[in-house]
Amino acid sequence: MLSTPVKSSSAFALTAALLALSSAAFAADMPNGSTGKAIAANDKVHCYNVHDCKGNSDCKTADHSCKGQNSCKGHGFKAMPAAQCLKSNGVIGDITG
Amino acid sequence: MNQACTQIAALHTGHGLGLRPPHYKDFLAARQPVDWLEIITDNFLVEGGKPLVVLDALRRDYPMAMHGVAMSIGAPGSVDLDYLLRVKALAERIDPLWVSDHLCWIGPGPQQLHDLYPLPYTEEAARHVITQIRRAQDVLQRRLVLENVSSYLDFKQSTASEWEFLAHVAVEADCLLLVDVNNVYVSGVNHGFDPMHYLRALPAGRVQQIHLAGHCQQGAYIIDTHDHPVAPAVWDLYRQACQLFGPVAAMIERDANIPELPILIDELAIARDIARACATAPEPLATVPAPLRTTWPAPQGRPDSPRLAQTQQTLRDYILAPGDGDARDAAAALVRVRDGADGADSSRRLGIYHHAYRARLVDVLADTFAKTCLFMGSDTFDDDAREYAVTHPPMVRSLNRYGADFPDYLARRYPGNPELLELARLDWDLRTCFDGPDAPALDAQRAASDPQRGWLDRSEPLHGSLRLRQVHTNVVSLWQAIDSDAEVPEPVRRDSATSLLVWRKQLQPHFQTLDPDQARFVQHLQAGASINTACAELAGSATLPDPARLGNWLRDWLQEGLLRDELSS
Repeated sequence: MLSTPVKSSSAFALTAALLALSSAAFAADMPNGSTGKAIAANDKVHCYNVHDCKGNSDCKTADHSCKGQNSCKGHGFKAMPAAQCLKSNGVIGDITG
Repeated sequence: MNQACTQIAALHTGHGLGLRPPHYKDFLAARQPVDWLEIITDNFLVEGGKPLVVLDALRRDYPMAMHGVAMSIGAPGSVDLDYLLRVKALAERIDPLWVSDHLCWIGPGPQQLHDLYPLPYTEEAARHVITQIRRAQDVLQRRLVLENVSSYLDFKQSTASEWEFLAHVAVEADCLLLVDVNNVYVSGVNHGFDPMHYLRALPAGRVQQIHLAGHCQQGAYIIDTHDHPVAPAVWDLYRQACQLFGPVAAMIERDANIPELPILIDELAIARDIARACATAPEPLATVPAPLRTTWPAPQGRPDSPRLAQTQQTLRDYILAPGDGDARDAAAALVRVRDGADGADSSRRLGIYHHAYRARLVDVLADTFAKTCLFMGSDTFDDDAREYAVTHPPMVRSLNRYGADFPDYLARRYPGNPELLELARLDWDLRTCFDGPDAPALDAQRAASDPQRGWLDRSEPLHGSLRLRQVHTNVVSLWQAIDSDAEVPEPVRRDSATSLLVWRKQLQPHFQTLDPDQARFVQHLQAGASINTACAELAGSATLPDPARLGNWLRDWLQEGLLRDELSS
């Protein structure tokens, strides 16, 4: 079927839809195309409580930064002079295919 | 009958807790021994997503009170109608016990500084807030419940005490009171008044609710930090309040250093015991409540008193300026210096607000830009966030949308670190789609149930939550390493762009990179083309040589909720 030339764009899309909706498409182990894997941004990011009615005292600020996370030391950020660019054309780990 | 004794507040007793995210799972998992919950209204003035789903689920089990922090009823000008309508819509959604906010202002407008600033207790301010409260009550179609704020300064121009002002406003505006006995105590220590004198002056029949909270001592002042258990002196004051006001709904607020829920429930038992003891064996009051004063004290010859708006602008200018200099001196000229206090007293009092503004917004930005904060480290992040807070004061009433320009600010600040801009944008996209509008996504079942495949012809077919950005760094790897606390790889830049997609699948924000062919197709859809129209453009090209490739993409999109559905009729 796939070798048959597709006459029109709507027939092309209909064929694609048929493939997408075929029973095999519901298998849980369906390969995820050639694209990066979907990543769920989990709840610990979005605890969500930005409004409150407490006061802020000087002694508390250090404890409150990056709250809920286990380190505040920084994870790899190095401020670079504008002239000195990041390593160019390196391998991008994000792309899996 | 003395107005002070007329019961106007709806009789409601019981003991509740302020609902905070660390306890969501406990409240969702099992019925907890609290009579009701109080929500921070502003954390739920969102378009959709998980906050409202959690809220609805909890509302099925608990009565709820709504407590706002951003109405800014004491700001100059008219109370924000749009904000009131959003509060009203939330009230219609959850049918609350009552709706409260604070007798204060949070910014002079258009800037909203999001601290609870005290008012000058003048006739002008009283007239203004009475008008605004009445207006708000007309819109909300219910009595407002207003809370006394804790404060660290009072204004020279005040011609009445805080308790006289509060009682006068409550009676004249016909509103109700949320008496925060911790705030009364905190302000009593900070300003040197007798908290009992304050409580006795209030119209008992208008007291709808009581707040209890912990505080901390800082030098000569007490800061209302809500990060400790309720102090013994505040329990004593609560006991007195129970005697004065009779049975009134009361609760504990804890906003920082939040313990496990059972610890707060144990603490709430102390409040229950005190209320029960007062109800069964009321002690005779040491003195009868003070008669309520409804006329304003005669002006005391201060013709040069600044107007309310001017006072607020002066304080705003000081908050946004460096901590010393002309702006500080102008603000200090407004502040009453305590008898016997040294010359630096007004500066120290002002300094508490100066610091709190920055600390609050740094917290907000660290929450919204969580991965960026961890990547930079809190020392660097805090410095930049502080600077941003000063140069970009919030114009929004909802702090969950504060920081829209922060990624670009970082890009200007660190032009050699493109990964920082991209990481901050990813944080922002994830946050804003987290509580963005709810919209149904097309799934495989719904797609299969349409024999005409009408969804292939649907223009603007992408789900409303979807954003597509072009990135030039390994931002996804950085994000993942930070998230899993793994070693963060070296930031890498490359000349060609990669498409990064962010969207919300049901309640959870997701993101992924797209290969160039798929990205090209999605860009057509993003421009509004239907799937069929995009095929007309691209079918047969190297991007889309055969239907099998599109079939793979469609299968992914249906699984991941990238296409919008229309509501079934």
